[in-house]
Amino acid sequence: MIALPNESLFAIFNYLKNEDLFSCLLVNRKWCRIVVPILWSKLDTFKSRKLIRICLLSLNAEETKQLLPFKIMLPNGPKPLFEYSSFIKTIYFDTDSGIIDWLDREGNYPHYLKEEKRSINVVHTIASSLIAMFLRKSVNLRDLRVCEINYNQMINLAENLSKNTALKFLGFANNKFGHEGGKELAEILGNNSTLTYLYIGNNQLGTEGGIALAEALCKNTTLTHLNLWNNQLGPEGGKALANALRKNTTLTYLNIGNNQLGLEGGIAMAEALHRNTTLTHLLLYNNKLCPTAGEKLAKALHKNTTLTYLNVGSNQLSYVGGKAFADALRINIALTSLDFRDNFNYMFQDDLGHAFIESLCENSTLTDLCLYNNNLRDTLLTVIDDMLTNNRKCINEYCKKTTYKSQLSNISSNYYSPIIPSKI
Amino acid sequence: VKLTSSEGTEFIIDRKVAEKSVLLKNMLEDVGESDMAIPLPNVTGPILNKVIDYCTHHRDDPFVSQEDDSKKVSDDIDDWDAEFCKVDQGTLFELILSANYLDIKPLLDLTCKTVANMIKGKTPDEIRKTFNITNDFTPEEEEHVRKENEWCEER
Repeated sequence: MIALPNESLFAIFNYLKNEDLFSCLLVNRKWCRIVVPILWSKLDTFKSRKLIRICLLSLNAEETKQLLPFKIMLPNGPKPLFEYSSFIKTIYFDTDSGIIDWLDREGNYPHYLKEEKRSINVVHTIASSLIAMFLRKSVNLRDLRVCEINYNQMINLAENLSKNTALKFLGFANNKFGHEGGKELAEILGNNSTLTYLYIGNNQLGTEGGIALAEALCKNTTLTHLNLWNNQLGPEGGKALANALRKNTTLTYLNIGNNQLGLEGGIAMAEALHRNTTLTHLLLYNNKLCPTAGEKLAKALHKNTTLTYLNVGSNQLSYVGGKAFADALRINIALTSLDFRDNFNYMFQDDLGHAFIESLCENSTLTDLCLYNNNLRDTLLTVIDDMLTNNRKCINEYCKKTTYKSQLSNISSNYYSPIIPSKI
Repeated sequence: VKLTSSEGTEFIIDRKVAEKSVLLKNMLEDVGESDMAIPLPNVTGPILNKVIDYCTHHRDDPFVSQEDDSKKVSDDIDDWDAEFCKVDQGTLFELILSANYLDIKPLLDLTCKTVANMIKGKTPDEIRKTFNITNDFTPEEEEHVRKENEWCEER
């Protein structure tokens, strides 16, 4: 029997899921050495107290020290066979149930304390020690997402993050950071030069947090994606971010949906779009934008030539705002997708439908226009869909001719499903 | 295009079929058309025959570029390919080595998937039996490996 080289075994194991990898792990030493890096490359099972136990074995003195006051019994088994944390590339820490389970069954944590505030504290501190350890030891860590942990703030977040310079993707969605946490994140962003993605939606960062992040964004030159949905940024936070967009030249994706930007925030964003030449995706859904803000944003599209996706859904743009966007589409040659859903709640808007139809006669770049929930008659929507489909076909033909790889399907998307913000 | 296997058997195939192999494609681009046979000392005749079968069947498939290292699935093998892979284990392993050497990504993927499917659902002992592997762990080591990694079975 011929033996397969390691690289072939590696390729084979990459097709297997964890339960089969576990069997391969136990076959012999050679297989074990190849499987371990695959198994540990992505950690997303923090439900398991067994994983928590192994990870706790890797804490150093400093990381252990912050756990001492809780008088829990840390595992003290022999040193693990492998430096497991060095293989980790991706961490999705989205539950603390593994920590709680470990505390209950192995940590010897006094039961009577569980009802008290201290029990939240101990779980929080263990999580923070573990993340500190990962940031110290996982030299290959590219993607760290910690979400729905519901801590007010991760202890020493900034300090620990500065230890790792390989990280590209950082997600801290749904953690109730508050504005202090926002400031800390801003500090991280200000000092960091490797992060390209930062997802910190749903964290109650508030106006203060927004302003701090905007300031950091003025200086940062690596971040390309920033997701700040649902953070109560308010008009002032919006203005600060708009100001940052005038200076920043790397950001291509910005989601500030659900942030109560209002008239002032909307106008500031419009002004930023006049000048910014790097942003390609902007999400401004559900921001209480009024028709005037809509007009300004639409006006900005006359000039802007980089934005390809704009979401102004779930605002109050009404006919005036809608007509302004329709007019902008006659001139703009960059936008491929406009989400204008849910901007009316009464009366049939035949005039608006006709305005879009007329403008699309002169537009050949737009391929997606979402007008869902705007009281437009189906007959008009069908006409618009046909026009968008035609744009797609033309673009696909062009792509074929010029051998560009086309990514468009021939199905139009007027009836999108509503936006569901992703958990992570 | 002329190819010679390790024992010197000559094979004549279409250039288009040969170009499924990135190694041969690059060679042909470098030297151009020639009557000289290309020697493949790492590939035996019967295996080369199988490889040519595969490349001929898939001659018109579009070239798929290298994907990222995300998790892949192994249950998307079509009937012809599944039939093609119904060979003894030695042949299958040799096909992997040849696909690797000749740089034929789709054939490498197919053969690796086939082996992955042979592993699926088996216990460590069954895997050892299937591939005739001896267990060189000490009992303590085996227990450690099990303990330190059993978290991965929880979902």
